Amino acid sequence: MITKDELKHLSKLSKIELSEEEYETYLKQIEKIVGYLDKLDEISLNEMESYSMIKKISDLREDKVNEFDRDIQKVIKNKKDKFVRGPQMN
Amino acid sequence: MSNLPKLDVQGVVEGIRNGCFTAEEYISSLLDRIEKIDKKINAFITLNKSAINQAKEIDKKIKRGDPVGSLAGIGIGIKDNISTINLKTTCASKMLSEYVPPYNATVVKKLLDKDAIIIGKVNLDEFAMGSTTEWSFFGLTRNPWNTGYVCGGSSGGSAASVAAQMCTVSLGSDTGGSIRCPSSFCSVVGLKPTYGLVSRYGLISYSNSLEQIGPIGKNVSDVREIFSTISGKDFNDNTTLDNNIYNHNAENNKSYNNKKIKIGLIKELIDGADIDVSKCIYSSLDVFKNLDFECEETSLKSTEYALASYYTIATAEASSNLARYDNIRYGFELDPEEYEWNVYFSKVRGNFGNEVKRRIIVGTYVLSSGYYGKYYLKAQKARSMIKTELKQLFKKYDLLISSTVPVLPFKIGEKIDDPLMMYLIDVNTVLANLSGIPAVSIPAGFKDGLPIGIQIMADELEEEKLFNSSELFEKSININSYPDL
Repeated sequence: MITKDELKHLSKLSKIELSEEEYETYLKQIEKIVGYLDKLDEISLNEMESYSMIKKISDLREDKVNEFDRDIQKVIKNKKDKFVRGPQMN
Repeated sequence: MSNLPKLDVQGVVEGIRNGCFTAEEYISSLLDRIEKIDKKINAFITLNKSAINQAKEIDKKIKRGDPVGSLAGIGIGIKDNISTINLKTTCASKMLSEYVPPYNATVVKKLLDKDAIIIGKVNLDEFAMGSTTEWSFFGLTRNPWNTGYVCGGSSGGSAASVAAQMCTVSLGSDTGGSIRCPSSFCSVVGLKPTYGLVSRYGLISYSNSLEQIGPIGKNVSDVREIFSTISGKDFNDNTTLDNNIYNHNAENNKSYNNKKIKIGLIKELIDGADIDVSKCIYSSLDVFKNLDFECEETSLKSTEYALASYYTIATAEASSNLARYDNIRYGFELDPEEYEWNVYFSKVRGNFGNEVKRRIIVGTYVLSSGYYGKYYLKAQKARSMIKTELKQLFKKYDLLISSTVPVLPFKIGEKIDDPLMMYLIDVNTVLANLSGIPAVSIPAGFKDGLPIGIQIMADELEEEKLFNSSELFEKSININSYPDL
């Protein structure tokens, strides 16, 4: 069961503003989705080791600088001089 | 020249090289076709304005007798979540509607190095989240076989553009079936490669541990050709495997060529399918039997946890990956100056589409402290269970088959208000993403003019086996029809 307060909290955590109407529809839809995911509860946690891939994550590449020679400034929309412009911090 | 768009990769490359037609004529024929029919389909988001000039350059090279690449002159559609330099890459989202990447994805670079030409960027569900391409900020893509029906997703534009002969081949990305589902719905061939064989550098991330870029083509030979071009170790993607791992495996496989191939039909994936779909799969099984493959039914019990595991992991990774979109560096017009930090971000991120917002929220939920053990950790266990069980099956079988999607293409709008119903159509395809194995969707037939696809899965690194068997199947079943547009 997800309550409206929980959904409000999740919306705050994920920084997504929802309209009143969205709260109503999402609440029903997400409840159904999460209800389906509850199926995972049948699995015992000790039963199995965790997932692993062919490649070990610890196989790191060589620590070498690789130059990126494109103009990144060009793609930035909100800027002032050479700085990125953002909202105020309170 | 009206038949040019019907050609496959080999037909185009040889036609141009032998002087039957020029690259310019071929690319023009595709652009003319897009102009004429894409109003009905809406497969393209952005067209590449320099495509004709690149074609002219290739013609000049050929005229001068200079060498050209092995894909010289083919026209490629690129899913709009794969970065292309100086060409908008929107992810079909308002949040990236004006984004022009400063670099090419590795797969794009590899194709351009062989003189392939990008025709344009093709439509998808926003950030590749969806199974119908109805969730695009730029409007939905329609099924070329019947424009009242969905084309599948999320790589709907990639599959529809190939089916409607608006490009030679295309690239899609597959997180839970996003290449195979639309390939099935549009009657084209699509491959989700082994995890780690194709670089994800430049693919805008949704769920890193599941997704792979792969080709969609008119036939198996095209898919094989594009796969061999785009695969390989990449310095910029640390999850790519060393080339010798794959080559060694392919080499080993050649010696098995004379052995009888064993196919297992996964019972659980047929039991829940539409009757027309399962009928088609059983007749496909007969095709394999006639090809002297050894076929029998088998069982994959952990299937029942696959979707729950998939949607937990995919939404969890999505909530983390999509946290970066703040509309500050590239996005739509909304001046940040007048807003407080958190207010601004929440406000702009409210502009994600419904499906993206829902998945970010579900992902945030399953990762939140009280629920992490209940969902995410168990999803990872389920993932192991599935992989272990599949590995066991591959000791006995070379290939596992099922339908690609358990249902026929359905009407536009039919499932859009019920996310869970929509998720259920991914049940056959998510297995390959959860376990990292390769899988392909091949056209297997039609019911009332709507395509049905068969999914063939093989063990990790066994792409060759997939291609060889698929080619035999394709030849026997011989579906050579085109949508009437």
